Amino acid sequence: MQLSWWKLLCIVLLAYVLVIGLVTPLKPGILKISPERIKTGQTVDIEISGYNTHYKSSNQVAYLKASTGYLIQAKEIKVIDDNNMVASFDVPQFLPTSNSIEQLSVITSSEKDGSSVMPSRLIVAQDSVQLEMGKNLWSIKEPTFFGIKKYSFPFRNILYETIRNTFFHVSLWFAMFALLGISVYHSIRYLYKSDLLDDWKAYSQVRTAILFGVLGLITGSIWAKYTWGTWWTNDIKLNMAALSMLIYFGYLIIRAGIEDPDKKARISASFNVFALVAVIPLIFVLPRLTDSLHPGNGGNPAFGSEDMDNSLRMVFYPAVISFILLGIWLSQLVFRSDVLSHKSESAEI
Amino acid sequence: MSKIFKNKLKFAPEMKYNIAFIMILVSAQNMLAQSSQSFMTSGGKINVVFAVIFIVFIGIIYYLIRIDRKISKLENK
Repeated sequence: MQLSWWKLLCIVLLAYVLVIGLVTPLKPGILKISPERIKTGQTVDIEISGYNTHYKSSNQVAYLKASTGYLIQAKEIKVIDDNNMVASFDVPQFLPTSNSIEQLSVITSSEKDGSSVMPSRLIVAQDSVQLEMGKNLWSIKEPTFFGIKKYSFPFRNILYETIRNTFFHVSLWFAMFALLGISVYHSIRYLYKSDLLDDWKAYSQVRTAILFGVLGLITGSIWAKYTWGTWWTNDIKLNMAALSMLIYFGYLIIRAGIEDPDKKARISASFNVFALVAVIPLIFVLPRLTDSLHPGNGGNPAFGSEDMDNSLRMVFYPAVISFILLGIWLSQLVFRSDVLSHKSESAEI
Repeated sequence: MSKIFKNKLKFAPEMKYNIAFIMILVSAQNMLAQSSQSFMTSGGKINVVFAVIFIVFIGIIYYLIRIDRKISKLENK
């Protein structure tokens, strides 16, 4: 076996992704607050449970923030342990909004952990609306929040540690599309030059792409079970991904059903071209046009600053490259064994 | 009659391996479901990440085993 540079690169990148992708900690964040419903004009004690936090080792500050930007600071903070503390707030009689109900965000900040937010979770109700009074009682001045310097992945509610699946699930789909793209290139080349080897290359790449796609479906399903509570939902992204897999199963069936090698190659090559053209809008365009539960869909591109940040990109791009290289490697193995078996068959005849 | 029926039900050897692979996956998923919900959701759901990596690993190994079998068949010829 000759180990060319790109195979070596694939191994090195895979190792890098596995190690850095699993070892890097998440940023500290707020897991849970209780109670989640309060009334104005009272002193409320809010229990804050953190994740990866070090409440004991540095001074904590906590704020409640209204959607209009107004804040109040906690008057007292009792630290129970590194992951639990109780913040007492004097909630004023009136809110700085013109609604009787407002969703407040809880913000904690400290030098060691940086600042973390539990967005719009605390529901507060007031008896009567007094906008001007409320604005006077709350502070508009944005305090300085601490940042975190250590290299860490973003903390997202609901996702938590599964944000690492960006490297092991999302990059599978990226690699699948790369392989399908290469196979379409070979299919078009076959249609121009009628060299059967090109068709076999396309066939091996499609098979590896199907492996990646099926693995993507299974891994997504496991993630969904522990995020949404079910193996499968009728979400547009999920259904379209399954549909595109079915299209490629169709490709395999067409190849299995036609005996004549030239006819088989011609029909399946043109099928392959149209399949990719059909699959790209199914997976990339349609889920963005409607609502989708899937992260990175329903209007927001996955590469926006909301979903991806630089710490994730440092691992995600190498993950995509390594899975693409692995896919090329695997499909090359399949292709070479195909060629060998064809040679041995024609030698027998 | 029964003989014909029997012959039709026989799977090709490759098919057998595919079915075995799918059964392993299904039973792995069942095992995950039976193990308490708290195991998978504890520690910020880190075990979900491990399960995903495990599945990807198993899938690629399965693919390699299939290629391996094909090549050893060629060698035996």
